[in-house]
Amino acid sequence: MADRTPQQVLSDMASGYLNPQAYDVEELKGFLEEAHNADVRTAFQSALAETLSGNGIGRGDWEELTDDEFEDDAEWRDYLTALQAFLFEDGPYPIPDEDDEN
Amino acid sequence: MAKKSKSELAVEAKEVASIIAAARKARHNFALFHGKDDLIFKAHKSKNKSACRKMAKDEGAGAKGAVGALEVEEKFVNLIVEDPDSTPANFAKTFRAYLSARGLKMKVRLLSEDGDVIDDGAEGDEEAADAPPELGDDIEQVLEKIAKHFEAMKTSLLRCLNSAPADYRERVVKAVELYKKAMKAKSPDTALKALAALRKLVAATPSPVIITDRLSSAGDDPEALGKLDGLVNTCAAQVTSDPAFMDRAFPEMRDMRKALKTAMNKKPPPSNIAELKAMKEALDTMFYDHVDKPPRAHGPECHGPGLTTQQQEDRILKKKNPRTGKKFKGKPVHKASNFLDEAAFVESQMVLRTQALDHIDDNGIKPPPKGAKPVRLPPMKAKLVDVLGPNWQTSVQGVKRKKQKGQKDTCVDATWGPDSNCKAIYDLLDDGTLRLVTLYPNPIA
Repeated sequence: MADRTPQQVLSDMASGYLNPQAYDVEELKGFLEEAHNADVRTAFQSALAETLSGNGIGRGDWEELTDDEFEDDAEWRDYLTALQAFLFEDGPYPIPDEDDEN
Repeated sequence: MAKKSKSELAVEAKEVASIIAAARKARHNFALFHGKDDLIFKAHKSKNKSACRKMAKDEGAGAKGAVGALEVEEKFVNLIVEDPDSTPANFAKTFRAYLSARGLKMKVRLLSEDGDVIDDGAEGDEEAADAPPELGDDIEQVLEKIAKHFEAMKTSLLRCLNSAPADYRERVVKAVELYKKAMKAKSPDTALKALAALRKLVAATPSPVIITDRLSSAGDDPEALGKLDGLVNTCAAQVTSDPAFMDRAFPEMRDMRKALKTAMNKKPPPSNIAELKAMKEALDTMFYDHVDKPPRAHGPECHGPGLTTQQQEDRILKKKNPRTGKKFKGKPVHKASNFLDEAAFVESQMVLRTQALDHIDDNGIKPPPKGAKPVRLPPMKAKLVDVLGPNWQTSVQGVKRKKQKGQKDTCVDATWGPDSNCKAIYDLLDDGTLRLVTLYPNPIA
């Protein structure tokens, strides 16, 4: 992955781990925490921060990458914020309990 | 020799690039001869050496040249020649120039059928940086260079360890141990010798099972293929005793299934077609039952045949796993779809697993270190119409979530437009094998 840009790394990770059909954010976290994946972690973290600041990919591209759907931009951004906290700041699991009772 | 025009070279470049790409996945037979103006190069996966020689002769090949097996491993094109004594001098270098003129920067090695390098192509200065390290440099630098060369052959080494018969694997493991011992003892000369021996062994990895040769001779002839039913039974028994066999023999089993389908389309007599159909169904069951099965993947579990619409609706609205009935963790799904028959699932599996293997080869993806998390590949996908044919809609079903403000979500039938595809996500494991994470038909309106 050495020649991948941060946005490409974000795409790779999102399409592989964050598709609801294969959702495994814990596996992603474990992968990013392995020492030999430090470059991938840095790239993913920076691309995610860029996306949250409005300079990365938009909601439509994210939905296409992940086969996921969001009500609106606000819901999507809330989710990305929770994802960022879970992956990089020891935050809670990014899917709230109430979603489990949909 | 008369120089070829740019357009002639462009046509040949396309053909040669396609052969090299295919030979990365499976050993080919080849014929390479001097012609009137240039080399004449022919190779084929299933045609034997004589047939390749005939193809070359038909295009004007002269007497000087070679036939044998062609393998491609990273930057190396290995020509395993049948008769080293009659192979023209400097043939590796000549072929390297031939490839280079067609835009392929490769290194060419001629090997004997015993795996001895008989001509390494006398690499030029531009490749000196990649050349094997030489003694006399600083010992630590030499060891570092040797380690890089070992690292570069890791994918093919793992593939060899996964596919070779047990006694051959033992020889490879011994060579690896010898290499590691020499590196630990900081003995570059011994390490280099061990590395060379290892490279020879990897290049000459024998086929995991005796499928290829028998399949090659049968081609897609219905009658000849019908006689291979014993081979399918042997494979079934092998899978039962050694589930990893299916992973190792996947390309060959896939090719056998394809040959059976082609043979059935030739409309052979009814008794023969029944025989071929039974063989294909046996293969489908093997693929469905032994590759990508839960707990390794939730492909068959959530997207295989036998699921009801109610189960799919519960998956969307109640996050219920259709097979276990238990609630699953993770993100709620908005679409739930499945294949209606095993053959459609397997058909998609063949295409997407092949794509994943190609993706690994084309991008030089290496397996993770031993014991580390797998490398997840980006999703593989293909249009359902291309995989299942014009009647693809009869093989899939699905529902999708419908949101209405102020009301509970409900489900409606999914819309299957012409761009609907099948999608699969795979992990590359530390032993070099693939594990399916999911495979599903994906409705696109």
